[in-house]
Amino acid sequence: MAAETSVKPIRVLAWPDAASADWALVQQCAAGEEDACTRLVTDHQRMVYQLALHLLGDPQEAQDLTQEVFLKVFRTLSQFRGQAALRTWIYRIVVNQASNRQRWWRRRKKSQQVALDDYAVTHGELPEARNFAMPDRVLQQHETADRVWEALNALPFDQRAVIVLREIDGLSYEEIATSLNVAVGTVKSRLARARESLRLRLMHS
Amino acid sequence: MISADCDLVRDDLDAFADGELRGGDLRRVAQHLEGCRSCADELDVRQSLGGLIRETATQYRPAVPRGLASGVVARIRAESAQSWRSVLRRSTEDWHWAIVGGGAVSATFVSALFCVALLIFGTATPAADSISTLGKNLRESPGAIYAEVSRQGASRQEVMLVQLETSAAPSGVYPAVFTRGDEERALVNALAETLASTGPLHDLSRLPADARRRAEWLLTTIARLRAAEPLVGPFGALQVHRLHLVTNTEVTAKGLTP
Repeated sequence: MAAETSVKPIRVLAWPDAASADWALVQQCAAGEEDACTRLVTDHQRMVYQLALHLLGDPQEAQDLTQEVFLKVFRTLSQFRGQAALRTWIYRIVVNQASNRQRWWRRRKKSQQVALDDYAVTHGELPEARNFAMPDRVLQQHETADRVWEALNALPFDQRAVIVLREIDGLSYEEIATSLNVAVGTVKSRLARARESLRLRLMHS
Repeated sequence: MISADCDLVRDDLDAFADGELRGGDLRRVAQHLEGCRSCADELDVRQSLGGLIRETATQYRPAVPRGLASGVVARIRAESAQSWRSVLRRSTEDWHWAIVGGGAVSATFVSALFCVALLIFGTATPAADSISTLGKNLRESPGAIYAEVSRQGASRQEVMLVQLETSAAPSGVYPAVFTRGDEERALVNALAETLASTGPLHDLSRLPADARRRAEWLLTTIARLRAAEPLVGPFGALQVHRLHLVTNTEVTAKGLTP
């Protein structure tokens, strides 16, 4: 007797489900349910922290910004109407807060660049770098990453924001436009300028 | 070799690499790339730049700091506890304060009602030291005699109030328009003295019997004398209708002995 094959239906999380799940989570947070607040932070903290780090280039600043972002999110939850995805809405807050912080830095004439070595001091060596004998390939990767990181941090904030949202976070042009509150055409032109600028910097470094 | 087509395609090369082209634009760029080595190389450069950035980001992916969620939630909880809504909610949880507040409001309401009732149903008689009485008294001089007069044969609507000249009346305040003989002046002075001795009066019937008889006799004598010699002023002979005598001016104030 041939073994019967059965197909177990798997529930696929479609976009409307995700949107309604976000909406329900937001409603619970707005009602003051601490578990929901904790879940919202836990679900999005990696995304927020990494975006903050890529935009600001400094781990400590990124950590502070992450806290600020979530506080802002909870304070303005009542303004979330669900037109955009919760993730895009949070991205927008991150970019705005990072932009404000960047302006404050500029006023304080603080260096906006963080070298890889500084990063290593605060967060330890990269996993590959912990190898006792660092192979040439790893060393080369390390140097390349360092150059890309520096080139990225040298970009103007608006260009850095679009390149990070596109290349690292993988947002579509429309999502980037919503996150930055600009037109899609502006996103395209900023991306083109950012890529050209990065390419030139990497060629000359 | 870069052609005019290449220029057009390169404007869309980023969007192509990012998967943002649709329909005809997508087909046009894809077809061009199949036959153009230069643009295909350019696409490779852009894609590898993106790959480089993602690879770097992968290497620079630090762990999320521990305790972030609990720290944020703790701050939110603290802020929420400080909000005015929370303060209000906590204060209303204790009914003791609600009772105290309600009692205070009720007491204020009852007091206001009582004051309003006093104002509406209280005595309407002005006090002796009220402002209106004070002003009225200050305008009159003790001993002055006023007469309501009219011309002979005139109607009652033409009655005038004039002050008779007596020794007690201050001169210059109301210029006398009539001059009388010494006999009438003496009679008027005696009348004023009789009435003023008993304080402010408005009615002869309230006088003691002997003072009332004296005042009536004096008034009768004055009337007889006036009938014999009518008043003569700038308007000719005048008929006297009523006499008013200011007997006293009393000004008192709270806390002071008059």
